[in-house]
Amino acid sequence: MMNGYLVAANIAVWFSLAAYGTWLVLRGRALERRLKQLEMLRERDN
Amino acid sequence: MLSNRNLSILALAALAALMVGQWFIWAYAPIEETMGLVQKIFYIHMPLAWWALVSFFVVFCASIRHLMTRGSGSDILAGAAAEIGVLFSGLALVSGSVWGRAAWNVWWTWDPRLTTTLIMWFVYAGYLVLRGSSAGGGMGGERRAMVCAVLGVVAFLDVPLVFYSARIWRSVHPAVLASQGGGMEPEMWHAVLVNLLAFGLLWLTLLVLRVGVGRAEERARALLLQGREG
Repeated sequence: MMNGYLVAANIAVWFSLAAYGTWLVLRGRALERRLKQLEMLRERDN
Repeated sequence: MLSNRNLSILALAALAALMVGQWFIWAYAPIEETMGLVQKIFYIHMPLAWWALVSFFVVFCASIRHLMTRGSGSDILAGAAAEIGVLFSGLALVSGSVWGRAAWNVWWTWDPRLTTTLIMWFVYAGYLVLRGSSAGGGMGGERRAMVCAVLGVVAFLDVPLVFYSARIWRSVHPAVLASQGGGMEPEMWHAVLVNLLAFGLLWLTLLVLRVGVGRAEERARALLLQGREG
């Protein structure tokens, strides 16, 4: 049972950190693409 | 803040340090006599709590800077540090709760250290809600940044309380640094220090990434506004 607590704590911590890190990377890439589109639109309008 | 290449190097260094940290936890540090294996939660719980407090100190400094200069960079930094601080302190609360269930037979107790940490978590979670609330057209960007900066300074009042609570009041929470060696063997201290450093690198990587995302969000907002006005 003691080992169960240890596993639960480790899963909670590492899963959350990995999920947050992945979300940041994906959000960063999506924003990069969006910025490129917006820059292109601005250049076209000018 | 950092080029993609340097950020990748930092992320790889953090990953390598975390793996070394795991080796120190599972292979190097001895198993504690009374608690057994479950004591090893401490090696991830303590670094999470420490770097959460560092995050909130960064929020405090960046908020003061924002109040003095009104620069958007300090506002973005404060928001990034607060988000990581809430994540780290939340995980410290969860891992501490699991440890508490094994050590004290309760998931939660209204101990001074635990209570002040929970209050701190709620205050900074509220800070993040306030930051997000302007997205729907509530407060304007500049006004929202000012209010958040004031809250970022005031919220920090709880952080020294969290740090010293286990010493000031009677607390069941172990004050490891307050006692000589904290009753731990040298190998256990080595594992603590290596993991503190590893989580520090992870913290820095996440902070740099989050600041980059914050800057990109601001740039996208500015371009959208320009488009609407044009």
